[in-house]
Amino acid sequence: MFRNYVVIAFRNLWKHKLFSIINVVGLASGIMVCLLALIDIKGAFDYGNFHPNPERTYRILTDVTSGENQVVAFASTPMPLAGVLKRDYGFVEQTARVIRTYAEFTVDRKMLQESYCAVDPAFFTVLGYKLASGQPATEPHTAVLTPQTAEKFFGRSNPVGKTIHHKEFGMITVTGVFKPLPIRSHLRFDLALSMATLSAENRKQQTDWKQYVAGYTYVALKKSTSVELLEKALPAIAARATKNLRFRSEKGYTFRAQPLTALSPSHETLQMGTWEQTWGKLATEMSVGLVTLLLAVFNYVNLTLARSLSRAREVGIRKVSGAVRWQLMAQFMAESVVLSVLALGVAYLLLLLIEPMPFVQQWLIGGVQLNGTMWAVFVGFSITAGLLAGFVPARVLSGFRPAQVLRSQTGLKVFKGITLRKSLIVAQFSIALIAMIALLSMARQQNYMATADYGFRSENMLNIPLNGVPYQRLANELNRVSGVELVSASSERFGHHDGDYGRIRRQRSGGDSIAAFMFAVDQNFVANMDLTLLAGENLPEMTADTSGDDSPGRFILVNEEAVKAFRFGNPREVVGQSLWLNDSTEVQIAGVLKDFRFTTFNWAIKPLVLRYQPKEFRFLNVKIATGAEASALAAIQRIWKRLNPYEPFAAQWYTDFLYERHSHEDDVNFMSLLTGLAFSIACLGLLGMVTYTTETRIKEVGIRKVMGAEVRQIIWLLSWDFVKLLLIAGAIAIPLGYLAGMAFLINFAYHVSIGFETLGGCIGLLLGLGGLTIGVRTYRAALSNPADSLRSE
Amino acid sequence: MISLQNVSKYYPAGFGKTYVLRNITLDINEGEFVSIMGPSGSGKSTLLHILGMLEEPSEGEYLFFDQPVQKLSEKRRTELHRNYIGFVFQAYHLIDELTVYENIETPLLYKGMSSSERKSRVAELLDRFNMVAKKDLFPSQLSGGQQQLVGIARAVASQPKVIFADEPTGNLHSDHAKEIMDLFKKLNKEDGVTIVQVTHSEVNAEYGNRILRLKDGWLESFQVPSLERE
Repeated sequence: MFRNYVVIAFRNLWKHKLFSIINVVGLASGIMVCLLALIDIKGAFDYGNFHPNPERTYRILTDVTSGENQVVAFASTPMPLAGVLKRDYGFVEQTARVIRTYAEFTVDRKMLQESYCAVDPAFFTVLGYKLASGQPATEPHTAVLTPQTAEKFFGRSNPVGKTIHHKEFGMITVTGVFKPLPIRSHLRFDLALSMATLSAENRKQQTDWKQYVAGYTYVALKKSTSVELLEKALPAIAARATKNLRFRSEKGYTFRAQPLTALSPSHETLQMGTWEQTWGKLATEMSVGLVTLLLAVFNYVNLTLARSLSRAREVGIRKVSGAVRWQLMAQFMAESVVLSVLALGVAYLLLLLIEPMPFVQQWLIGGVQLNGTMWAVFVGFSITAGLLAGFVPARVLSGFRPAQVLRSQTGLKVFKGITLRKSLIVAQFSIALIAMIALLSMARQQNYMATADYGFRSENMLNIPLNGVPYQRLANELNRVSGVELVSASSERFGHHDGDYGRIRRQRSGGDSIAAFMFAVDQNFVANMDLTLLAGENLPEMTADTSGDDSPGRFILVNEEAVKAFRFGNPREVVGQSLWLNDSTEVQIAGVLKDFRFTTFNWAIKPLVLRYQPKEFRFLNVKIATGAEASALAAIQRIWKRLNPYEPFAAQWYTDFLYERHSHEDDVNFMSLLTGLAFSIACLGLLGMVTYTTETRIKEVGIRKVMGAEVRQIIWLLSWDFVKLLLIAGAIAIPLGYLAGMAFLINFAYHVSIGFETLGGCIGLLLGLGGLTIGVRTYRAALSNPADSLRSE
Repeated sequence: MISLQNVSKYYPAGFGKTYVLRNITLDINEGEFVSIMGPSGSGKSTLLHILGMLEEPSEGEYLFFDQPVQKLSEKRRTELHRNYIGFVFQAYHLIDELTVYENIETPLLYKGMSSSERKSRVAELLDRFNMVAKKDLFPSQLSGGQQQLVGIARAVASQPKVIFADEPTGNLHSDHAKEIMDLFKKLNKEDGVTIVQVTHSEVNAEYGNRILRLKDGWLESFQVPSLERE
């Protein structure tokens, strides 16, 4: 019997190729998106796997009770905790502390910003980051590098035994190299320093019970120890530790243990969290997958019901041959299962196609190995999807009564589930359209941020990262290049989040204070960036003989927003006022700049302070004359090679930088892919529906043509019902899409509006593609010769 | 074997109801070959459907082997379809996606027969109906007469007691029609299968031993041709 079901299923699919292709392609698209989510979920469970004893290794969390009596969970702990656990509790085998931060490290003259972990010796045994060569970093002033970092610093040569330099810690000897870190790891770092390397100031923190954000504590319990002992000990330690502590606002904290195996996917959001996956993210992915799959399932339901006319007779025959309803349902569901298993095959091929996309690698499937279990899950998932898709049509089809459908060949009118079918089409197009409007708003916003006028000059500006080259020397050389109009220096580039953020006060101690962004710039900067001075003067010029002196200047420039924040009133009154950057640094306002957008568009304009601080300079901004771009760039590159032969030339045009920083093409590409899938699923479904519906009306068309109807009138007659559905979908999707788009745009202080061009464009595309789908079929039907359709009886 | 008592069938129409069958009282014995005749719309097919338990009468009582049909459960009725009743249709109603062999096999599948039993039963039928060479063809590759042969083979596959045939030769040329009618006659004579056919053709009706004439839902006459002939 089962074999019989499958054989019939295959023959039916083969016979109705359009139907099968539409459904296989649709279901494959939906399943593909679900596979991505399933793989990511599998990956989320891999996070604890590579550690040596994940079942008895724990990370300690801190539950901090805030001043408002809210409990906030932190992934970090105070640093002295590890020592107490190790010393006083016999069931603890080992403890390892990890402090995460980043710093600049130098090798020769190459300076790179790297994220590092300062770790206890036990780090190398408690956690599963294995060494490829050398020894763990346990002694002071030792470090282990990741292979990527080793290559960045030392190229192909063996780094073990070589040194890297840190301005505070001094020389650090490389004792080993890690194997490539697992991608599915909650810690990510470029190198691991021994904890003993840290400076005295850092070590002071290690005895401070107040600093619960200092770092992470991992505990490995002795074999066959119950975790309850640890769970009982932790609150007691917290109680003792917090007894004599005075926090600024917090009321206290307590500790609890988190098994490494429960790290990811995480149920709660932890402050100071690491890279583990959250259920929220996974659930979002899975729902996107399921919605896509649902769209395809709608197609299956729709088309199967549309074809019910041709299946009704079969149902009747089988019933009079003695079939009961469940047997027929089983047969129809076998068909949908065969279809969905075929779709799984196609989905896997699609997956291989999109696998190289950066978004997919980075966010979804990077670092996950597929195994037998995963394949079993995939197959199980597809079969379930097939059963669910098949259920509704199977119920409807198996419900036909033989007496009705077998009575005669003519006059059989079986139109079941018309309303259902129409609603499904409307739902499909609404979802696709909402996704499209939201995506278009997002893409337009990103394009806007990538190309908009920020209020400073970005055209023909070349930013050269200094990477340790003395700025004055490079600037002097560049000034001699023909085509270079002006050279300035700055600590950061405008147009992204970076920049020092600090508080500025009007009095030396206390008083008004405002938060402001601080940028270090030289005196050419204002002219070079084409900034407008509203009052006062530019920063004073540093003469040639003072240029060797790299002490910071006494004068600053502020923007209008800073003036407003200090409630100074008129910009002119501000000039000459003095401000305190900290207890010991007093500066004077030299001038006020017209407001311009110096951060990303997420934020409204904030107070800004520009000051001459040559030690902080990290970029040269070079303005190049129009037309001289190529020659000047080549000349600059030659100079760079001469001054710094080992460092690649990393200059970037300002406009390119802004574009790359804000356009996020990878994300938009991936989301366009999803939206495209949704839209094509809907269009395919529509194509199928129009095809089958038109087939059943071919006789009507013949009669109307005989009576003198024109092709135009018949196309309209056949199309109007479907066009109506598209219009309804549009009416539903426009307000919802607008809300979805606004939900994204609301995050930006400066954003595009969702206006006629977005909504109109999307609706236009919907009606255009949908109309084309409908038109192709109805046009063909309208052209058919009535003699053919009316002849047979 | 079959007994109808005052059976009527009507459909609601507007405020009243339209009668298709009125007050039919009728007995059919095992081994009979009955022809139902009448003009279009006289209720022939409805009567056949009621006899075949595809439709339920609106009024009256139907006894099949002394069991009241209207009181049977859906399951029991399916049982009867599987073991007692075969159908032959004017439009053949073969399943297009199945081969000749598989079409004949279908009722046996639902009957729950083992695969070896099925094989021998289908082989026997193919042999008897001279279709061994065509067993792997699909219905669309056969002529109308051949399709109806398959239809009959399918109807007798589960060895029913009674076959209901709805204008079995309506779509066939007279040569083919004769062949099919001879086959019915043979089944009736040799296998003792009761046959109830609906037909338009007097010639075909004569194959039976009794003709029931329907007009506007009424059973007109009660001829017993077999008696007259003898």
